[in-house]
Amino acid sequence: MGHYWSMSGPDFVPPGDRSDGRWPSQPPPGQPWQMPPTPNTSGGSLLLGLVIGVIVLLGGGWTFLAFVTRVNGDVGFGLAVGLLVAYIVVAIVFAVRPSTSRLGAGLLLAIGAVLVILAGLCFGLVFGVIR
Amino acid sequence: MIALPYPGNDLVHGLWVGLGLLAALIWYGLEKRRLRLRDDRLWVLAGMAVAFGAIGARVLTWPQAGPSGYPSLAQWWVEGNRSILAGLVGAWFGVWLGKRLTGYRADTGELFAPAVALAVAIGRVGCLLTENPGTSTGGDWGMVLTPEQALRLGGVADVGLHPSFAYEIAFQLVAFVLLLRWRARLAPGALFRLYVAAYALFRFSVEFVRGNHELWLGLSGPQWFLLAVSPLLIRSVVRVVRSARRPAATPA
Repeated sequence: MGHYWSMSGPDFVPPGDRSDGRWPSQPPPGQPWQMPPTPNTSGGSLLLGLVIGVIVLLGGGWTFLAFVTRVNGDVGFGLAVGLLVAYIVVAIVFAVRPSTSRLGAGLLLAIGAVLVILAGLCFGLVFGVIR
Repeated sequence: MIALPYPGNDLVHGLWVGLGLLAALIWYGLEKRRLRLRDDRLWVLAGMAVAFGAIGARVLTWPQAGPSGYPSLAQWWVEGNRSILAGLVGAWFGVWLGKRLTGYRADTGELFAPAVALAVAIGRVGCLLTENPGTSTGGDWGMVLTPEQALRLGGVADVGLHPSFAYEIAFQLVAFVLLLRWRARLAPGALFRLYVAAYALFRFSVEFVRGNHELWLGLSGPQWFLLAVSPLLIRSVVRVVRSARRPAATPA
């Protein structure tokens, strides 16, 4: 296989980031590589977004709806799904705006954290399902 | 023979999956820093992958095991089937959508492929400790279930069972090492495509000892899914091979 401009190794030349997200295929011929200007990285806090997301999803909406499902299961689940969809839309809106991109990314990561790790524990505690 | 230590324990399973996710995100962040990639859109893509992967892992198993077998939708959501394959499809969709929404066009395979391998390797420890290990080995080796555990997990009691999740953990660890070794020689997009194709091949094979329910003609749901997407995977690998055969760009 041929060699591509690699991202590691002795010939490593940092490609840097360009605002359009394109990877440069090779440096300009005959010119030394110059690091492109650092893009704006002040997109909020990833960790803050994650914490807020976990609190909103788990502490606020999900636990509340866990009790709602005891009264009318499918209606409560439908409300939960609706809230989750609304949350995803809000998170994506934050994520695509440069000024809040990290915050939005944290909110999205919180979805994975809650659904994959914490929701099972929470529901297990609420419904006594954990064995 | 080794007893299953935490049969059906959702807490242990969830914790290991969470560790896998955390390890993958840490790896992703370290690689991003090593490559001096400062574009925040890369964190957005990671968030989209995790969010849609988590949702896909549950929702996309609907055709295989929908909510009809559970007392409520909520309990189906919590206790129903979860699938790594469905999660990978969801994550791929999340990254695809994220790239379109943010306008980020560069290949991200070099970042994602090793992270996925690491996440699955660690997360599968949770499955190894809590789920039905696999089919009978036919010998006095493997993992073993008590009659109560076998009834609960849908397995076979008092015989050696293939530790199928251990096989997958080994595959993912080898894949992780190979991905690190080859990332300097392959284009980022090629790296991810080859990893997915290799995992698909491995997963199809290990399904024969996984102990999953046979859907039709002796093949399980995941095997039929992999057969269905195999044309896409083959086409993907052919593209990688063809682009590798083209003369490489030489530095000035």
